[in-house]
Amino acid sequence: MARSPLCTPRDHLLSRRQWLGATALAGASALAVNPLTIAAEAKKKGKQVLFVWLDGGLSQLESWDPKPNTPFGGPFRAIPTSVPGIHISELLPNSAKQMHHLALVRSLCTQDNSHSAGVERIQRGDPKNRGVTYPYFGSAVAKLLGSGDSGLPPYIHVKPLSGGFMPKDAGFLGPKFGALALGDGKAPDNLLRPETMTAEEDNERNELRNLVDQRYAENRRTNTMEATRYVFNMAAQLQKRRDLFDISTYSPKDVERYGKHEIGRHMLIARRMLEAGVTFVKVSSFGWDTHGDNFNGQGSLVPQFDQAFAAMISDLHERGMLEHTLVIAMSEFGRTPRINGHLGRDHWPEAWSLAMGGTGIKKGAVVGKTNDKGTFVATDEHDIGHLFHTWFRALGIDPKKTEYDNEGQPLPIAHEGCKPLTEALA
Amino acid sequence: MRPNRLVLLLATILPSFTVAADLLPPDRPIESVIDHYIDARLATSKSKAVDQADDYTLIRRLTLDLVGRIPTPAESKAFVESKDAKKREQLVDRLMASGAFVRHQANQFDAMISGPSSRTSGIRDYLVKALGSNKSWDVIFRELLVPNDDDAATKGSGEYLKTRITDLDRVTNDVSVTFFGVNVSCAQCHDHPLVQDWKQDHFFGMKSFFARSFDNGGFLAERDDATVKFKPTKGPEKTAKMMFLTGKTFNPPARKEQTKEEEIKERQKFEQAKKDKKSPPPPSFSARAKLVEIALQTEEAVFFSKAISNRLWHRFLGYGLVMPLDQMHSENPASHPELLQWLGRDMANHQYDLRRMIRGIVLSKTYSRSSKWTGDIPPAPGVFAVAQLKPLTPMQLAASMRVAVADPATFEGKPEDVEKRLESIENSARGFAGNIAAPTDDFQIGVSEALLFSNSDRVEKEFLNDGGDRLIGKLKTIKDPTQAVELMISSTLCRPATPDEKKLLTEYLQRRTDRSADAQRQILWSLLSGAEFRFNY
Repeated sequence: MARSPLCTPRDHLLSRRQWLGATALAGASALAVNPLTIAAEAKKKGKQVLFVWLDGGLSQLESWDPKPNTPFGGPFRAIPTSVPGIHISELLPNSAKQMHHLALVRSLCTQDNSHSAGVERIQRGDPKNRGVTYPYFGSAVAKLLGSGDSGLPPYIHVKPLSGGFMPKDAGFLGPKFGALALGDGKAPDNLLRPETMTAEEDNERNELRNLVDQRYAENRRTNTMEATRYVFNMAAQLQKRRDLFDISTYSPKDVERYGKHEIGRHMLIARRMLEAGVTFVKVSSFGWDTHGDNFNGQGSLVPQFDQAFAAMISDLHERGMLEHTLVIAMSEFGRTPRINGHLGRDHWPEAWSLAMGGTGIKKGAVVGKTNDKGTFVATDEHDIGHLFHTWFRALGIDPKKTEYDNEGQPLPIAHEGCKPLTEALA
Repeated sequence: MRPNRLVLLLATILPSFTVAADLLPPDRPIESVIDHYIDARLATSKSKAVDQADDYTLIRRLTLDLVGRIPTPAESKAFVESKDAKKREQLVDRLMASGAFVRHQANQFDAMISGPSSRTSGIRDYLVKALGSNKSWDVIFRELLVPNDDDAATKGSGEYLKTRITDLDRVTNDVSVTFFGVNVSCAQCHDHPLVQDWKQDHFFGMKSFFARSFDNGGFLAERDDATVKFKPTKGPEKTAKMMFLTGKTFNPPARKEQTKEEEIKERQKFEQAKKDKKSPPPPSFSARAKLVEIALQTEEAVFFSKAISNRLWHRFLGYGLVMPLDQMHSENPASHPELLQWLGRDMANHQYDLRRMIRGIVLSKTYSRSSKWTGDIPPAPGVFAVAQLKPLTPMQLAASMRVAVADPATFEGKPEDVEKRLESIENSARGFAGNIAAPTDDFQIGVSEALLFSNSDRVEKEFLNDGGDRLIGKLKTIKDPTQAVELMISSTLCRPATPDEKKLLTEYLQRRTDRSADAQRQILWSLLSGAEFRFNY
């Protein structure tokens, strides 16, 4: 059977021989380019990422790929956007006005239709299984781009419910590249120095710690030693920037524009984190799993997302930040065209959509299309591996020339059977 | 032509039996065998072994590794000052005879078996009982895989499968990873692309041993029949055979065709047990019990015996003979293949006696090397020329902090009383330990830990208060600042203060005589939050 040039869900198995051939080539070119040089280059340009995660599954039919007046289309209309020819759901009126900054992918076809598997696989880029746990996109970017000059953690996750440090995201990269989660957008626990201690005393005790550590570090493996210094410095930096977490200093006008709902508040905090120089900011929104009453569910959630997302795109553009910031909004899968007995839509990895924009992304591009009923992808199908290639390229990282080094085990940063979506790249 | 897979596999997996004659004799002490093989390899490598660790470091390392805390100042002093040639053996035997050894090893095995995320109290409780009564590793393996809910003596062991059985792919891989050092998860979708050993037949063969098991209202049940089918990458769908990792297959007893009535009756039996909240009726033939039996047969047991040897080695040396721990296969050979074979054979020959192996490892010179190296480039970890730094586990860290901030005088007295005091300290450390991340390979401390240490009032209240039995309380009674510094360093870092430290910290205190208690707290905080305290070095 001839292998399609694209890695499609049903055809992603390579023979051992092909695979070895492919890695031999990849390995040879990896030697030519030092990942550190790439990181340094990208850092110079100050690349950043905003990753909006709509947990549970945004309905493509009620968002980026509407099919009005078809059996599965649902009650909402399609509206024109700032890009002639592109129509999206009427639930996204604000994003429609920003479409000239965005690109859509309507040809996603992925592997998992369960949350438990899909959430992880999508965010880890579904690489080939090599017995290691791959990092989430945020940890991958934190590793490949570093934390820049902000001194802040490279990967911050603004999410509902609880916060804390989430080392799990980092997989084999090691917990250093995990996410610092701001539960309900609030500052991390223990951010503030105890009132009984002055800044001077705090500095003194940290200096003492550094002195004692220095003696100990001599002729011992330095990376483990630096681990303590690295995190204590980061903790100190977070304390200095506690203004970032003080919601009372946000302008009332911005609060109004982004929306007082959860995703609005969280998106505004995310903007501040990006402005402060955080490399990767993830915003999660929960409750998108509309198995029942889909049209009221998505009908109320999508407009909230729309308000916050469009305000963000517009602000990033006005500040010139879209030039160096990659923006992605997506879920773990889409929702079934078929409307179930509870007026809901179930999980549908077969044909769904995402929006992206910013650095490296072609403005106003639309990749792929679904058939008339929206049930399947009518053009080439694209698995998440293709998107990882696309995003890395957009950030100036060549997945063919960069690989991870997992204690001597070279590992590709994206599925080596996939390719970037060149039609979406600027 | 490609060589037959099985021949290749056996040639690489079985040499422990085919060339057993070439290994060092089985009756040689474990520690001497370890040093023999490690030194032999070092002799041919560019790296040179560093010196042995000093006594202060050694007692700290042994105490942390064996009983999960730092030594008290009195313990360190007694060990360092002793001139007894057998003092190291005596220390090891004393620590291993204590209840703390059982509790700490139970924590370690719990982390190894349950993984960092899915810890349940039941498995740890079971492990404390099992290790306390000196159960061997094969018995623990059997009790985890074939648990008996009605047996009070093994209560808790069933949680291992209960928490996994709803996901058969996960059980299959977890069992292979933990007990056989093999990760077959890739072979789920296709033959392993890199490792000739692992085929889809292996994954589904292993899965077949679990396919009859299921959750029956919170109880583990096993039916008499179930087939695993899979779609190979080429050709038509296949029915999996029960197959162990060595390729050994097993045909379960044939079952006569069930009538509809019999089927209904069987279903009712399980339903009734569910209603009564009782253990379901046992199967006439247990596939899981068969897996345990096969895995422990002489030829098949190489996986089991090498995997536990490698894991114990990794626990005490900080780096496995095979790395990663779940990648034991022909294309990822051990750094010291003969040593791993010898250790595996020793495990099997001595009924998988965990204590015996642990004692042997920690008495070796390889174990007691310094963690400091000289020269520009550190030796590769796999040559074991220098000791690895091991981050403390949450319980090791919390218990050690508690020991460090106690008034050393409270550890003087009758050994039984000290033991009791240490146990209560250990219990009181559990809460704080919940805030600390469990270490993994390539461990990095999270920023939340730094924030916790820097700003949480927990650290202040739990460790830096001036209660009567606390170090800070004791320091109040000491007028001489140098003496105070010496006491703080020896209590926390388990060694005497260096001249530089004495000078620097004494000056620090002298400049703050107007707030000496605060200054002492600052010093104590910096000692507890530093890298030296954070690692077993």
